[in-house]
Amino acid sequence: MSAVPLLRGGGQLTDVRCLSEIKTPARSSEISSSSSGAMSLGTPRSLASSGQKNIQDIRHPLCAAEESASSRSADALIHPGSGAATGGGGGEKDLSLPNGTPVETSSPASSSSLLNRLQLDDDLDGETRDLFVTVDDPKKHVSTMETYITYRVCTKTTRTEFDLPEYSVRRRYQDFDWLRNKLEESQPTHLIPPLPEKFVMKGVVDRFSEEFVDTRRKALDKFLKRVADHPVLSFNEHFNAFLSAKDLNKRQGLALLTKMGESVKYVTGGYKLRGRPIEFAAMGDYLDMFTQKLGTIDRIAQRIIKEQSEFLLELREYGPVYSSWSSFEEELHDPLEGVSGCVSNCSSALDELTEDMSEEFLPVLKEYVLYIESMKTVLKKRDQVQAEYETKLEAVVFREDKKTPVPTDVEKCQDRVECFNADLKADWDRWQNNKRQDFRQLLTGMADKNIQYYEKCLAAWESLIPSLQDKQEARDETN
Amino acid sequence: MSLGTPRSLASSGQKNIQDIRHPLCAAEESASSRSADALIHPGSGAATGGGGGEKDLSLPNGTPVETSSPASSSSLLNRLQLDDDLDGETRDLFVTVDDPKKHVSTMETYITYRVCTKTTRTEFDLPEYSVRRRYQDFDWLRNKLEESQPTHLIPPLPEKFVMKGVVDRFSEEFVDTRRKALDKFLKRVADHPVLSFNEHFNAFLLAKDLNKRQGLALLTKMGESVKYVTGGYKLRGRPIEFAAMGDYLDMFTQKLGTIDRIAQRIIKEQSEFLMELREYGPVYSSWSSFEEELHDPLEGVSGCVSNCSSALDELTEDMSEEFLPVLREYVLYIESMKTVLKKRDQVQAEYETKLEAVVFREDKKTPVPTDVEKCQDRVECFNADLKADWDRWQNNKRQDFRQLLTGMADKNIQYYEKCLAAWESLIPSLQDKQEARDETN
Repeated sequence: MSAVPLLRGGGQLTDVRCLSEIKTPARSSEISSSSSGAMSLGTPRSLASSGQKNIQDIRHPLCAAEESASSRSADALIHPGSGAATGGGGGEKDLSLPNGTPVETSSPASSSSLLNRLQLDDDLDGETRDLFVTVDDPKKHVSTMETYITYRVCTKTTRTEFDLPEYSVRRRYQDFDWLRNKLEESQPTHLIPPLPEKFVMKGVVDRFSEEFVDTRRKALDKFLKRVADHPVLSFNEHFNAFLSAKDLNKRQGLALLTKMGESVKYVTGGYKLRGRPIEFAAMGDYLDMFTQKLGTIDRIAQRIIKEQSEFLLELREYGPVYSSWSSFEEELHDPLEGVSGCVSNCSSALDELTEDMSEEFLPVLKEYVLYIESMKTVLKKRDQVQAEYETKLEAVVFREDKKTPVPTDVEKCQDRVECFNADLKADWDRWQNNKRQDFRQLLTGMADKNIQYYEKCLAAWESLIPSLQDKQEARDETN
Repeated sequence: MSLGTPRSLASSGQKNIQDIRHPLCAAEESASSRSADALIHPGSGAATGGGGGEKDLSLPNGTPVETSSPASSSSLLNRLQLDDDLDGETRDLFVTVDDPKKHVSTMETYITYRVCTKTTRTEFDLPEYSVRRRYQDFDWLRNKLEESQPTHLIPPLPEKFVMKGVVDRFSEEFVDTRRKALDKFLKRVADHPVLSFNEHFNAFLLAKDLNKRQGLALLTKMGESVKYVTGGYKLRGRPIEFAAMGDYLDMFTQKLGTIDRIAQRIIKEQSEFLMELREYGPVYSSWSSFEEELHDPLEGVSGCVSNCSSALDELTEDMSEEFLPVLREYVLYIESMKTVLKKRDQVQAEYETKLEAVVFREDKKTPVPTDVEKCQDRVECFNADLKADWDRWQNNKRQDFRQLLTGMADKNIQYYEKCLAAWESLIPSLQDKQEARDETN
């Protein structure tokens, strides 16, 4: 299982598909603590800081979560913020961070209802959905070894592949990463949604800040939802295990690869591709264009955010000067105080707008850039499968030497190419739909936030006019 | 010095300089034929001010009244502008500065402004005048006023020197800003119960040729005496009210300076932000050409960003051209006021010293009591003039700043309204798509 496919990217910093990351011995202490004794329900992993308590006396976080899972009503799934389990006993450092709610509740009526409709838009293909997944309730776990965040993953389903109608488990980023790698391995002809970036520079970003954790949580939630919505990926056994198992037995690598998975996996490079079918070439071109546009938007947006922050600093110095001046004036006192208050309100409004750009807008762009990278890789794999088929076909036709493969080999290759192409086309259409929906939501949110910003600033400045007019009228009367 | 002698102002080109009409002649000839309207609406029917070869580039006239504000602010500004009367007097002297023109001669290039006067005062021979003046002339006037009316606060002029490499002295922007400041200067002098009767001011308004070298030196008695007060006298105690004036001016100049500095940084950052927006918008437009369903929303975002850019550009320009000049003018005003306060201190110090000498009769230099009385007179007159001017100045200041703040609010409101409208126009294109999708699903 250790063959590193040539088609994959290596252990790059931003590459979420680092298989080697999971398997290196250095990590085994972490894995073994969960895998060696962790077959049974009651064995705690060395997660929680036990403080003065014997580690045996601390309730297993997964136990606690699961026990209360079945007692939770359906509501808890839709409104993930309510009544979260504490997830552990006494000594566990249990800092609850706010739950993100995906639906914008603060927009004006028209935009808000628009966003709500976009969010609850069930059905791309007219099927009835029978699998619902959410990610919420981030919690910090502190142990002697490390500190990390877990998220609650709740599942509601009527599918017979699942034993229970509801599940609630706790997973950490590593687990999501494991899942994604498994999906890529076992479903190589499909487009696997991206995960948020794995590595963050410890000095630069605070991995435990509310902001970071919430951004990550939302991306993880989106990831699982996309998998759950996929007609093939959602039936994958690794996905099933991820959702339902108390303990992810990651070392066992439940290696029931699909036949396609096996065969695609062993395709080595080196075959030359004759001609890429137009539709796949077009996909490649589109992805190139799209990634370039997103990159440009990201760069400029970051500069804009930086400048808005600097501007904010100026405003925070500017407003108080008027206030300080007003204390030396009588007739001009109120208008000057008014200007000071006005500048202050505009500052707060700008702060919110900039924050939204940073926390809601940019992450979506970045997620799509990652998505596109993995899609390009799949396209390359497809090219390879086609190239292998063409080469073998050619060899059969010309019957050059004893290495001529048996015609059944060529048929298998042909099968592979056709299945890959079909899977990819279907996924491409699904992806395009999702992309349109995601970006319409993004643009609506952008418009919404800007509208709120300008409304607030407008109101602030308009409130100044009366204090100027009153004075004028008072003067007119005295004259 | 006769009427017909042209100064070497206009570039004569191929013409004999004698054949070129004197710009001042031309302006004055058409002055009396102009109706009263021309004074209120300075932009209409300006004289060309010169003949053939003169390089005659007309720059737009500024109109002081904001016409583009929403109803309430606009009417407010109008009322502030036409607010005649601070003290209940009927105004009988109206002055405006407009119609900047560029004059190119072999020696130099400079701008002249038309100064129009309408008056019923008997000190003036005619009810209307129109003359052309350049900055130097205004500067001459101010110096004369300072000399001859040293106990009064003389309004400031816009800055004299501009760094030639940095600022374009002939750009519309610069010329218009200057014109407005010169207009305000003359209006303030015209509104002053003492300064407006000054003979130098009179000459400035009506003389075809300002005879600046002659220095019509009819100083007022006070002027003479104050002029020759030398320093060196020690002031015992500054009266509270004048100390308070000094403190207020110190505080005020410091606040204005801070606001100016921060405002300049804000303008710079807004300009940088504008550059980003101008790069940002087109990316969405370029992307939209590769999309079908998302095409309209993306084009919408591009257009929206573009509209917001233009709106921001206007706002920044206003801050630069309307807001900052007023702050700077007041900083100059305050400087000259502090100088007058110091002069007052000196006059008082001289009086106190001489009084003290008389009381103690120390030596033969003991001044004659009438000297002491004269000093006392000076002090009292100075104090009275200054107090009256201070009150007048405070009133003007309040009016100017209320107008400034109203303009600031107004411009900001316009900016936010435009941006809001731009973003709101995006929502329908997003909703239409959503409804279309719902129907097909």
